[in-house]
Amino acid sequence: MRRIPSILGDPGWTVCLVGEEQSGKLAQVTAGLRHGPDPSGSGKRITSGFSYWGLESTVAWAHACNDLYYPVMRESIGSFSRRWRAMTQTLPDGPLHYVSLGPGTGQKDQALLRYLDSRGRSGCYIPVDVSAEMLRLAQREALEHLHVPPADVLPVQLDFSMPANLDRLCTLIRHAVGDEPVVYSLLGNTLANFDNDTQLLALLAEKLLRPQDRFLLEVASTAGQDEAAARAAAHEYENSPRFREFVTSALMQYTDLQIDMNSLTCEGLVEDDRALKIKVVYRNRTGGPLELTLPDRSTVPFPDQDTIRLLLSRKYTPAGLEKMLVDARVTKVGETHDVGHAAFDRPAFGLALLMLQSADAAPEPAPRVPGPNPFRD
Amino acid sequence: MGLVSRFSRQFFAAATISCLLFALGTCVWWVTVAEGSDSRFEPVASGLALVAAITGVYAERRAAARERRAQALYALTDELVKNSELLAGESFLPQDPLAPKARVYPRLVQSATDATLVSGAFAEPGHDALIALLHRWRDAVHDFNRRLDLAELRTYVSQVPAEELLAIDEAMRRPGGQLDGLCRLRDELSLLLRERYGRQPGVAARLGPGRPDPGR
Repeated sequence: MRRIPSILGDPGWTVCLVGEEQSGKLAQVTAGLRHGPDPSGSGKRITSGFSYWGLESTVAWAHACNDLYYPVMRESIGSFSRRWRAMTQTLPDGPLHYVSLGPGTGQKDQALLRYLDSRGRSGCYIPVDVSAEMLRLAQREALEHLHVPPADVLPVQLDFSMPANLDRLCTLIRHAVGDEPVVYSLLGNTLANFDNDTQLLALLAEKLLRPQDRFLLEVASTAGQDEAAARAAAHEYENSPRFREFVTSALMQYTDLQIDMNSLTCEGLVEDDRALKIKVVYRNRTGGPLELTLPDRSTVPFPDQDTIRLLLSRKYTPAGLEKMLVDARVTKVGETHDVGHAAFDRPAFGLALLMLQSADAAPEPAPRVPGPNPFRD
Repeated sequence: MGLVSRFSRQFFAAATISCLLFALGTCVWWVTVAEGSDSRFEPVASGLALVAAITGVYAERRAAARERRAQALYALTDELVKNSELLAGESFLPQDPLAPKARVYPRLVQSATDATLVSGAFAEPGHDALIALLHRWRDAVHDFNRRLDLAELRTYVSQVPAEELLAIDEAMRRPGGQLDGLCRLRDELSLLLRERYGRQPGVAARLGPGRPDPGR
């Protein structure tokens, strides 16, 4: 290990810590595809993270992010630098370490690291992702033209949605940074891809956040919450050919299914009063039963009209977002809301960037003293 | 000048009327003692001039004073009606407990009260009660308007929670509070004007014959 820093002088090398058994992950993918038939999109599924697992998916994701027909992600990346600047007042003082959970293409990480670097406050950069290919891509993009020493970059391949993994990640981060403050980030509406999003946020806050740390969360937001808004949200995803390639890339990788892009549908639903839920599903529209061969060579029946959920996403209402933060025991210390592209006759969707800290770290609000009353005093 | 300024207006009026009456008496006596019809013209003419001076000056002054009082009373009653309408208006309705909001309150007017007090229209004896009440009314209006200024500053300069908006509104309307005291003074003034000056043309018509005040 002592000899590695000299090797890292060559930018072609990347050191990556693998935090869990990858064969176990493959078993997880196949388990998700073994669920029974369900035409509503709640049966077979490719769970979050595995959509990006593998080189093919990584490349497809990078293409989707630059697709002119998929402006949401492009605008999210383009405006991130401006939105992040509005948030910098809420950062703790001194050098900051940055842990990026699901770094994506690395462009947002670069905006954040560039800010820290320009102020001489950069510490360690620890991108964490389930996909090694994604990590390599993100790291290269994030560190371009920056002066972060190779020894301060520590990519970790790990599924951060599992409690045991978080414990181990927490230990690693504590060893690397000591008591110095850390900024964690979960950007690009990644949180919405999980079935139990609130539980995941609560888990991350509980396991990772100390009083001196901050958590940067980016989620998609919606002003309206009716059937029309849900349909419009689904259309956003449907319009992009690159996005369709991306969501089906995992299916191509883990099954022998002959992909028909016309069998891909995006369904918008209203999820209580908290969010619009978007399911991207692949439906068997061949008119007859099919059989899927999985990576372990076993076969699974795929009857007519049965579905495989390829992606889950949400757009949160302001009330739903507030409730999720309360339930996850985190408090806001800063926020920006960006209303994205929206025609006058369509619902306004946007992006919310929130700077959070652990609710336990927030000082108790002072008891409210009523102000002077001119008709009483 | 120092000695003269010590005497009151009543003293000079009495001295003037005494002199004129004495001169009139002298003219009457002069007519009785004058011999020949030609020599009586002069005391008669002087006597008539003195009668004109006595009646004309006094009557003109009384008529002018009456006119000033009438104008002041018109203005006072108009102002009282206007203030009653303001207090009964939408801006002073109680706050909606479910959706209280910051308000810009209209101010009560007091220009006619001020003008009446400084004009001396009611300076003659017999109007002491009205003058005392007008002073109290003017002070109460000034105090109330100043508290409205403070209430607006409090609620507009910073974000004030709904419960504080309700607390200010409740304090303003509490029994024995500023608004209550102001309304009581307005009723007293209205009653005094109606009873004491109701026969003056226009006063009773403006105030209405004992109609309930809209501000209460």
